[in-house]
Amino acid sequence: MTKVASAAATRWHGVFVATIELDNRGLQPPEPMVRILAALKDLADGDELFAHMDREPMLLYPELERRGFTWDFAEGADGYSLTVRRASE
Amino acid sequence: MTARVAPTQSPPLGLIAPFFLAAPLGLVAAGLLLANAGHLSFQAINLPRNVAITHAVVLGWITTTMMGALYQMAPAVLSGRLWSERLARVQFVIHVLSVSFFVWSAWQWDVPLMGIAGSGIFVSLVLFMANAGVAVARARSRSVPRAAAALGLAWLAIAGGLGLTWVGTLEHLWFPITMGRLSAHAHVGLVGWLGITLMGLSYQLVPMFNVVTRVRPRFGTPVLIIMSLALTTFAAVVATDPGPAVRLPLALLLAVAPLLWGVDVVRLLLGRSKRRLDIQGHSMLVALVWLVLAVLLGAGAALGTPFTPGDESARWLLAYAAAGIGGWLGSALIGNSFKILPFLIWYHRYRPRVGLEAVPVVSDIYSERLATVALAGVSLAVATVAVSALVGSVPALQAGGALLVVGGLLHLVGLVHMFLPKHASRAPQPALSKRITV
Repeated sequence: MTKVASAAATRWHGVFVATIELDNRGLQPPEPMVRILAALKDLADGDELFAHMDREPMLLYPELERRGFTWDFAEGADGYSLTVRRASE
Repeated sequence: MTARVAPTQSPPLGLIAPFFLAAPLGLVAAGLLLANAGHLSFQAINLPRNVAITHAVVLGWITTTMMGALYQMAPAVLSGRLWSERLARVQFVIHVLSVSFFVWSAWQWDVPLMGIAGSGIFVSLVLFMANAGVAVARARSRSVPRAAAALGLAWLAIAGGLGLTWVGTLEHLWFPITMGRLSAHAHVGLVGWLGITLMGLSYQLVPMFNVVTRVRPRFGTPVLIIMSLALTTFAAVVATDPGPAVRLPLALLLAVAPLLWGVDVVRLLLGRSKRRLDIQGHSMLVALVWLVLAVLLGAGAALGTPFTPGDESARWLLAYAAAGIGGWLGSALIGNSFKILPFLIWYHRYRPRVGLEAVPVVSDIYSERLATVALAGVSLAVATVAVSALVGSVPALQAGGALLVVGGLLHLVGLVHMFLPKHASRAPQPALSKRITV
């Protein structure tokens, strides 16, 4: 079950996982990276960022690592997707 | 088909940028020589001024750009490390000085000085091939761009060796340089080194810059195989100065792979996810138009006599060279230079600050308008040169030269503009949603 809510409310309850969703399809490099790194500012511990991608963001990985995030890149029926979380999780 | 990029291995901006910034000066030099050309330029393709102009464009403008592109792409796209970054900087200095010296000495037709300058160019090519070759050999990916880079470097070695031999025989009269041998040298350099490298790298760049995900290229590997076999046959046979009955099929054979590549580029561009084409997509389409014209003019040049208007053998060949070198290769390189260099600037200057503050994106770093004007300017210049040669008009040829100077300066201004401080033109688009999953 999902519903739209604010990240602040999510942190108050603490038992929920807030997901920031981005659609980065149709964007040329490095715009997907710019959007993801900008959105990560709002990512609290336990939250995750989910991005639809056209391709694997090789340019992004060193920055995620440097800034303390972990990621999963997957290929599904709907294309590629990237899920990012804080490394402390 | 495409390589897996390794951006952390990207060489410093200070290593790559000089190649891109110096290159348009080759076009400016060629334009100045052409703007002062006389009717003699229509008489024979191997006259001093024509030789100087050709090498200013090919070695000065296009090869210098391609060297910068390979120094960037071999580590960052093919994930192979350069042998030495310092060697690349030394090679740049040797290359610029030697090419400038060679163009001047060819214009003056001072054969001993041409020999010295040609040796300098050969040293530059050897250093480049060693450095970029090591990076290509170290590359982990087995991709079309990597295979094309390796093949291109091999053809560059042959073209450089032939060029140095031709200069040697000019001085020592080992054997005559016939039109067939000249044609073999020119095509090995233009089609083998520049054409194969451009076509191969575009299998990486066109999908990347135009966000092509739904369409796969069909002819990547066949293009490289057919091109290499066709060029080997062409160079070996045309060097024996055969008649038109042999030259025409050879010319058509040479055209097969570039046309297949053109089909792939059109398919990729039609299958893009990005709505609007930018300078890279536009330049590839312009390059394809020039490629088709070059194929037609090349077929005419192969037939010979019916296509020597006014009995001046250089006119048709000049038009063919303008379409192939300035049109096909030049247009594609202009477009890609306005994407490769901004990306590099962005990566080195702004990447560390992304997400922490508003930073420019790649489209903020270069001016689409300046890039389009540069592409249009060079295309207009090339068209003027080609038409003036076909109709035998010296004033039009000189006007084409003046336009080449303007086109080269526009290209240079567009590249220099990228290095000026830039501001973010817009904030990143907000997220689609924030959901809470119970």
